[in-house]
Amino acid sequence: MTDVYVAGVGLHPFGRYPNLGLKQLAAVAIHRALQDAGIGLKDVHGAWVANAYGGLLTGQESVRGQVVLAYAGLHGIPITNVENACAGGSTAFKAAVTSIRAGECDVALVVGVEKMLVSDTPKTIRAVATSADTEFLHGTGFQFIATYAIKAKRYMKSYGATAEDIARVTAKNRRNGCLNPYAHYRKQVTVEEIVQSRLVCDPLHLFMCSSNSDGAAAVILVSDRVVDRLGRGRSVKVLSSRLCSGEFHLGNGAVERIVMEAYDEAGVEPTDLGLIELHDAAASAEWELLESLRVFPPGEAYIHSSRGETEIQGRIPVNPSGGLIGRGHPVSATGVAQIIEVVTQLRGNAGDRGLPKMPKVGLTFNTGGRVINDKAAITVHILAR
Amino acid sequence: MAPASERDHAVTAHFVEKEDGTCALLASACPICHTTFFPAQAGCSNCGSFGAMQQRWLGETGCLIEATVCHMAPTGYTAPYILGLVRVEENVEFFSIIDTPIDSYESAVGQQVRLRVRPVGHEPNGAPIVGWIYEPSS
Repeated sequence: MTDVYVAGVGLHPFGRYPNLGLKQLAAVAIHRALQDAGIGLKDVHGAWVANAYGGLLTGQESVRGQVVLAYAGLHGIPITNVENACAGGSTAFKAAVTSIRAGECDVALVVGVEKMLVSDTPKTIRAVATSADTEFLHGTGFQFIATYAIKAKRYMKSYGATAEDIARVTAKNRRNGCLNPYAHYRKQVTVEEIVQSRLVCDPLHLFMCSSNSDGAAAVILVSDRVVDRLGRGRSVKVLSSRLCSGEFHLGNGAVERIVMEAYDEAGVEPTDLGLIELHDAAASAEWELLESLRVFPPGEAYIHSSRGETEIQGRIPVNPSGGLIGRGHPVSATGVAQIIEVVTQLRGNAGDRGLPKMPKVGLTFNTGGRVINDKAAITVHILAR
Repeated sequence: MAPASERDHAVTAHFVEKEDGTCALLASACPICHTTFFPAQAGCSNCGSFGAMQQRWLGETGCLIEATVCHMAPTGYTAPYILGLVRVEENVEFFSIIDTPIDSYESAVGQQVRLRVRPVGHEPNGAPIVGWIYEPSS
């Protein structure tokens, strides 16, 4: 089985782009990824395109990948459409990895693209709400952020974390986003401004929650054969690519299981990680995810975080890109953008937000949707140079 | 195990308010491993069996595990309102609107709550949305 490498990366900045649709956002990311890899459109053998709300928000319900890639100049190749809510991009990445490992494809294009800001916020909120069991949840007043709020409350009551601690994580990710030219939010916010921003679901204030954004992210994946032709120097190897769905009824979380599988497949331990990009849909989620990743013992993540250990200069940088909070969250693009950040840091190309100690191994953790009591989709990727 | 028939999968409501005023949620129970599922499932994700699942009505009583005040509301609902995590029995936990005063809702956390069926919001055409909620038992 061949190894798989990320040979090229490209992004359209995340933010508000009223004059750009799915096609334009994706084309910028795709062409940048091709240029970064040093290949042309004709070299791509297969493509996986992730998008969640193109139907509800732009009217393009079906064949979104083909429509978007036609504009970018890609015809005739196998194109697969992927939808896994906020984990769509990393799911598309995993599908491409699997195809290359199976020997079906030597050069794969993965694109995550989302257009969420359509000048109708309630419409966007309703679209996002469809990433859960719509039939069951009708009449329940359910909203996603409430699950994060309740988890945060239980963590705070169990371990003594405070709203200011959540604000400190938020401030970190906003600070990091300022150093990321592709981030939606380029302005720092203080802990005071964060706790004074309007309450969404107690204890989560507005700034503590990730926002809707437009954006696109693309990578070129290649096999052993091609990476030797292109030159291994800038390529980053995929050590582990895992996907699972949640433990829907029991709600115990499939997270521990997938994390163990990922570390096993990669042959690494948590202490080997040089950086982590994880799914901070709410800033408080960093704590539980870091504990699930066995980076910190249960109940201690907020303490280590408050001491600065997860800063860019810290012992284990978390979300140096800004995460969902700072970078913004065009849902299907996020999983690919997390992987791009790891690749960029491993290459030493992260500019002002480059890690002082050049990392060798990075991990991404991406989740999407909800079914009953757990995430609909969970992915973990581990990459190394 | 019997093969599934179309009739077995007819859509039913997830809750009921009976003539005597008592309310119940419609769950399913696996007769092989005795796991209860709410919302009901046609197949058992615990032991893997299918075609044997039985209907089971959950009792009115639950425990409010934790709650939050939602200051922004989805279309059709009015903020602020309370969403809580209710446990009816082991491994049967779910989110529900909690009908209790906003300024004292924390005192309901950890206490017994009772299932009720009420209008909870409005459809775009103004028709009421009727759903289940939980309120403090005492």
